[in-house]
Amino acid sequence: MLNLGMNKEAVKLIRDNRREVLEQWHSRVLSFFPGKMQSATPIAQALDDGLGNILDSFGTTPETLGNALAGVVRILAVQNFPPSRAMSLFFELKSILQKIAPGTSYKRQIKQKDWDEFQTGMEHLTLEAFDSYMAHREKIYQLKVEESKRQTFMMQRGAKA
Amino acid sequence: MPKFAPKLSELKKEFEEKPSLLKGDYPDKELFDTPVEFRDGNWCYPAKPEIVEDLGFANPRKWAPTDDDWKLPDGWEKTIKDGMKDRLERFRSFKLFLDTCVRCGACADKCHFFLGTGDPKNMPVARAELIRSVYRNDFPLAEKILKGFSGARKLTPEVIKEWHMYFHQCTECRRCSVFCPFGIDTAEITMMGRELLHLIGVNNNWILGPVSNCNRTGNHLGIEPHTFVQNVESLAEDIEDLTGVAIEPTFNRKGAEVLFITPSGDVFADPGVYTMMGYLLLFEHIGLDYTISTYASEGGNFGFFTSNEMAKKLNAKMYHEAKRLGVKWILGGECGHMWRVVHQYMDTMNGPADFLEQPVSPVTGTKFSNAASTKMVHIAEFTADLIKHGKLKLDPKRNNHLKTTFHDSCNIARGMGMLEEPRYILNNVCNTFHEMPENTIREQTFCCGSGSGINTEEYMDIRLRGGFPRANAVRHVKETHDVDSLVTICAIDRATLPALMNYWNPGVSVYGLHELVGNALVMEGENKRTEDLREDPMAGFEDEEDDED
Ligand code: SF4
Ligand code: SF4
Repeated sequence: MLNLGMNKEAVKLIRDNRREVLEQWHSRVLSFFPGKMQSATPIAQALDDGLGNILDSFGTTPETLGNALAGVVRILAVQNFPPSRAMSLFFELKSILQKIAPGTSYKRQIKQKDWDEFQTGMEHLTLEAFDSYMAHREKIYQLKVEESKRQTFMMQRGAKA
Repeated sequence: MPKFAPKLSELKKEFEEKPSLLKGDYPDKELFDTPVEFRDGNWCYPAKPEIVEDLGFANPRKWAPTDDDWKLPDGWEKTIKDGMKDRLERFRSFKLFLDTCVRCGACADKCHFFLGTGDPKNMPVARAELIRSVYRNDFPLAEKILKGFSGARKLTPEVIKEWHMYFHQCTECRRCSVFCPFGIDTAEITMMGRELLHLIGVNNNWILGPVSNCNRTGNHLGIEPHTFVQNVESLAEDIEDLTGVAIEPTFNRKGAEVLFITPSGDVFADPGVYTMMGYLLLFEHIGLDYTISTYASEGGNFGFFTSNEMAKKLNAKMYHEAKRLGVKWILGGECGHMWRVVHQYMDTMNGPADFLEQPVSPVTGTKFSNAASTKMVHIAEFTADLIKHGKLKLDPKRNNHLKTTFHDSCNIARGMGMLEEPRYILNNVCNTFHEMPENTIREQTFCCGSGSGINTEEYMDIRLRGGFPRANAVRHVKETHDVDSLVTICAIDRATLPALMNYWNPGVSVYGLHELVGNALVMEGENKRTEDLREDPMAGFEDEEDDED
């Protein structure tokens, strides 16, 4: 379970600027793809939904956040880019928030303590995303095994009988 | 003009708003100068040398796409150029498709591989350009006609590597052709691309293995006749255990009225075997005089993914066997590419089958005039006709435990235009059918992502990407209508969609259409049914309840 201690101020900042944050985050994630994924594709739409779900689940239950995270990582885990790029997901979010924070400096609006807490939250999330990424990769191996078993279903049945 | 071809105003809008090769959004320098990179998950194992040798294909050797040197045969450039010249002369469509494209971009975002990978080289127009750019270089007349956006390219090993990668990221599904104002079929360009690659030994074991098995024993897995018979008989025993109805299918029986041919996946793979049980129940229900062949024991034809000649050779056994057994006509099971071959090629490849009769349903008397030349009827047409004439006793409530949607297989929907019959059947055997969004079904259906012989496990990453648009449409009905069952009429779908669903939409299972028919059929003298053909409990038929019928 995720124990993020997600900072309230940061969550408020995200809520107040949801559209802008999501737009920028979405665009950065689309540029993970070789050739940049076009925004009208089903993948882009699913990412838009998924990233939005993550933003909305900040400050809710760890389970909601975990599901939202898995929704996005499931897409990233089968793409043609290295895991490191997929895992930069929350680094991107952090840098967007830094830029979006009203005023000249993020720190002027939100206390250093809150900012540190938010940073820690993002680091935790990155670790969670890594676990989820690995779980999805393992699932793919499992799918391969299950598929070959299904292909020889009758043979195995014969062997058992 | 194809039904979905865009109007001029739409094309203009698309051109302005969407990225296009023509506008230079993907400068061809970048497009073709980025070398392809083979890494785990994006290449299929090459064919084993002994298989290549056995089939008489070119250049048997040990190699892998990750090797720097692919050990292409001496003079391979000439082989490719001569092969291209030969095919340009023999296949008018190939030449026409290479010459006609105006790069309007209407096809660009229609391919599931482009949509699922974002890789510009997966735009159908770019895929065709892989060959077109070489064609321009080597056939200067074409160069004069085509004042192209992209320059001509020299044939180098890098080009071959690119062909191998991108002609294996095309499932020959033809979705792009539906939207092309000229009806250009990139699938056919891929077929030619793959044929050319075979000439120099650039191949895929998942395709050539089954081809070799088929060539030797008649089916993909290389199952010998006695095992084939055992499998079917064992499924008949399951039916008896479940329903109390004893079925005794016959094999290689001379003088039967109908020869039944289905993909061998229905005889050995899960969940295909449940579809086979559905066929057996249906034939018993109507008392069909049919037989199953252990020689023509494969409906599928992976030869179709290698060369025209190999497709022809493997297809020939259907007519051979029909002739030897003296049947009147052939009934074909649920398969995708089998039907593409039967519908579009069999008659000219191996016909005319003048030793057969125009198929007539022995139960309804319906003459299948659409099969007048091939003499082979699709099981969905056959069953839909039976239902239409009220010849089947069906209880759709027996499928109430499934909430269904229907995946149009590319080859059935686009390849042979069969759209209504499966829906008609589904609506008669279950009460819970919900369509996926309109732009993902019927002629516009999205491929499973694993067709045309790339359904091998080492290629799972690519398959999961290419299958995403299909999975995403299933997700939609899962969320809006609680759909948990994806019904198909293709053996490749039955083999590959379970993995696709398990990854993208856990909780959705894959069924063959005739499995649901088998569940719903009320057989004479049957035991009270409480379980479906998978031995899963039916809803509302639990033991303790009174018979609801
Ligand atoms: S193949 Fe057809 S739709 Fe695609 S770019 Fe060429 S002309 Fe346009
Ligand atoms: S035939 Fe299908 S897979 Fe091939 S380019 Fe066209 S849409 Fe893509």
